[in-house]
Amino acid sequence: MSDRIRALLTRRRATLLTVAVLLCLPPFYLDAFWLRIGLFSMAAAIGAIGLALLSGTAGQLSLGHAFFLAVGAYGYTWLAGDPGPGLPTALAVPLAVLMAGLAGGLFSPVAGRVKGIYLGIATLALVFLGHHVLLTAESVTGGFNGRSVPPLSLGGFTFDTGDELTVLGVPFGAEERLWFLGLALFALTWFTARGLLRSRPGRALAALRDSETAAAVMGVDVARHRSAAFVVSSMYAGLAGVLLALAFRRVVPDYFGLVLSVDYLAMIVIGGLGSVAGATAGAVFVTALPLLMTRYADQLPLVAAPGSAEGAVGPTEAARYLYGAAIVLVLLYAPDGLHGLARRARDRLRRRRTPTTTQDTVLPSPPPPAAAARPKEHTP
Amino acid sequence: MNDRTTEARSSKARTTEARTVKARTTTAPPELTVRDVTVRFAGLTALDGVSFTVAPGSVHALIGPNGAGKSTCFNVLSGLCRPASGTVTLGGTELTRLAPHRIAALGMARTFQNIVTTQGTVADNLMLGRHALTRAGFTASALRLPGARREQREHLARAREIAELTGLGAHFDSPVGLLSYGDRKRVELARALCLEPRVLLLDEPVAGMNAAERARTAEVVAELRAELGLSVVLVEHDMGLVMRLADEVTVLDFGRTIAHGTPDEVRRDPEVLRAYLGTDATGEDAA
Amino acid sequence: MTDLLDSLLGGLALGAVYALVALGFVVIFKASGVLNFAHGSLLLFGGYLVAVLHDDLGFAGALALAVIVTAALAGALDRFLLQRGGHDAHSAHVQTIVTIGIDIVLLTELARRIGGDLLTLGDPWGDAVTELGPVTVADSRLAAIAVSAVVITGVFALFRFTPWGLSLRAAAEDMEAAALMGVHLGRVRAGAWCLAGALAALAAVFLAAFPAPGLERTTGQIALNAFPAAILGGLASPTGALAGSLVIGLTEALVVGYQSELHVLGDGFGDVAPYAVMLLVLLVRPNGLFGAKGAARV
Repeated sequence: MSDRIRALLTRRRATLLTVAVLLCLPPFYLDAFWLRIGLFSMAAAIGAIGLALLSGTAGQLSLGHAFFLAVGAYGYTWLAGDPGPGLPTALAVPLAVLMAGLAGGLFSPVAGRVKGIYLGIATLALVFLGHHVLLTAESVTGGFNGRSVPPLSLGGFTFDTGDELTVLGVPFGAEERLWFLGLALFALTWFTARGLLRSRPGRALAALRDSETAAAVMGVDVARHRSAAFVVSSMYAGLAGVLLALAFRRVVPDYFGLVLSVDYLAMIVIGGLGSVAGATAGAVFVTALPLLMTRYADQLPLVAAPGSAEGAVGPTEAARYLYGAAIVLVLLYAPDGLHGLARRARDRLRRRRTPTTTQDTVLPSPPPPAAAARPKEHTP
Repeated sequence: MNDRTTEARSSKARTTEARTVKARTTTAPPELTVRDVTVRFAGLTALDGVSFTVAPGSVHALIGPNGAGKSTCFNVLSGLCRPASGTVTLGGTELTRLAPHRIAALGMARTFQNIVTTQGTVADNLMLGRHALTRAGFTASALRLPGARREQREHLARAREIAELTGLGAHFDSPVGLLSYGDRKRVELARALCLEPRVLLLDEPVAGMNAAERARTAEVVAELRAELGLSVVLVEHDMGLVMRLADEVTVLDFGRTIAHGTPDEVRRDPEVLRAYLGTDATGEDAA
Repeated sequence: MTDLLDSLLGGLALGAVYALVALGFVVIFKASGVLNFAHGSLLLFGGYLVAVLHDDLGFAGALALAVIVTAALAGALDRFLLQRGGHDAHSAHVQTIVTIGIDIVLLTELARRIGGDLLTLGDPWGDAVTELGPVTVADSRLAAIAVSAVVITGVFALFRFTPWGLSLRAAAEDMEAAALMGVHLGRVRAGAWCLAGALAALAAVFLAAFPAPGLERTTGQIALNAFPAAILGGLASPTGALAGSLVIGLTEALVVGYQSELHVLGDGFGDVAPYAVMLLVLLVRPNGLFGAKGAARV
């Protein structure tokens, strides 16, 4: 028995190591275009994982995610910049994340008491009011034109193109350096989010989603957990915002609009609600699709090159059709998203390998999304 | 992720020697007193001055035809419904103004008439039952601090014991959605037990079960009471079960207490006979 | 004083148009438990139809056709996409997100067709104004108030006096029970969606009419402002939606009217004022002004 466990463990460890090594390779082989796709995907994945905790696990819809991304992005820019306190950038990152958490906490009188879809609409207010503030508070945000983002430096190492750096014969510019920052932050997100989901708070949130009454009767403080889920999700959004700001090198208000919030919702829906891996897959899909379609527009049938005559289907439009359709199709035909598809494929493989299915012990496979298994609130 | 797997897996391998969390002390549970409780829903009086006392360590049954107010009474006890007047005390603590999760923390656990489980495995559901007894917060869990991991490991071992006790040992890691109806009902019971309750509220624990399952659940309840010394409040339509298990019976009809006493006394009470035979003798399911 | 009257009338007109949109949200929500995020693009679709058809059919003909086609589209979306999901609460959540996907596709297509243009709808009011004592009001605003009043009265009559309205109310009360009583949920739902689509197309005309410059691709976003209106009213109450719409319309008009006095809040605060009002109300009453306190149901 223990031998088998050890074998499995080393296999797990080996897989993890392989993935880590593979993720470190791209800066040595790919050009800036691909690195930017990767970087934006990693930032999006961090934000999407945060939203998955809130909407997928706790069942609280949020359309305010863009607002918290903005708090993170602008928070970092202001804290580390001028005008602003001009703090060391390494300190500005965690402080910006805390600011996003604080903003989420300030919303808790609403987030703790308003449920499900209703919260989705209440959070619309954050996006619109937030956008208004970004435009109006010019001394802090730079108004319509936004602000440029100071590059992060960690102990003398700057994530920028500034000083020349060559690693293994490859010149390391901003993209190459930020890649590793993104990777580290993403790993942190993955680690903490999985930890949360598989422990006491994660179970309480899932219980709350499935039946508020049952959760309360089991001792879960409903309002407190709803608020806490909102704060945690805001903090991940803040972290994603910081990384996006560093990658864009400029923050502008119009980026942080309702469309961005909807993008994040689309990521977790396409990925499969409530799973960390699913949110990541969805984030990569939603982020990379428009960029890839723009780049390869001339090779795609039915898609006009960017900048051609008005009214033609450009790559941006084509990407949005695809992605709107993806939301509809995924929800109607594969409600557990990419994550569910992957799991079913894996189960099929595993079943072929071992005739007796042994259930994973403490790593419960994420719940089947079958609506039929969902309990009903019953009436008195 | 790796180290957690190690721990969890090895703890499975040595369940017997794992340091488990002890059940609550076996001193007698506090007395549960319901006094003059009245509940109104939009002009309808669901409970009208209901009073009864659950003696420490006894099994107290609430019976009555459909709509008599039994489930409403449970909702008052567990804090889901606030009475218009009257008091509920557990030991010296007044419950009617407490939120449900505070009442749970005092050691009052309940099951639901319809099954209300969470997605995930039996283990997940049982660990939810231990929510009130555990401390790990968002930060400790996210960072997987040693304290939080130790707590999870210890409580998982105790949850496994409770699963064995209720006959769910073999299903501990199965998704709840795949279990049979009877097993899912047992998951609810086991989850309530995971709270290490001093008072256990069972809302129709055997409804919809076949004879064998009924007998098994009845056995479990009798054992629990003997071993853990907890008080049980039971709502059940299966009169055989009520007569076998209950020490005392309170009969409700249209929100009023119409009889009270030992099973034998209640069975002979003319009011009860009338309520059951006169109005709705076939009321076997939902109340 | 004239300013105030001006703002009040403007707010009333805006509120009347919001009411058309918010009623759509409420009707859909009551029938299906779904929040329709595609409402803005349905509205834009209706307006776009009027814009391209009015040259050939005349304004009235174009409007009639647009209302019918938008209603049909809304009904078809519900029937063929959303209703695949089922009728319980969980699938209502899923369907709400499906409407976001529908909105993306529909809005992208309409925005592509409209491009950067301002489309005129050929409405009969043009930029004519009427003197009402000391205030000058755009005819289009008076028309908005009058038409909304008539249409909303009609909708309320539908709720109260037709079998469909009875079924709708029964379904909103308890879907399962209604189904057992012989209510054909699918038909009731599709009917509700059609009605909402028709109201949205009608609202588009007034949103694009004077003093607005015309129909543009962002016109549909204004429908989002009706979300706060519907939420204020409690989402399941038509009366509430009506009241909420008036509150939101008046707030917006007053904020715009007194822009200079409210300068601290920044330019363009009028656009976001509905959301500020909504947040304030939700802080005090999480279930909206007219929403019943959601008793814990066990």
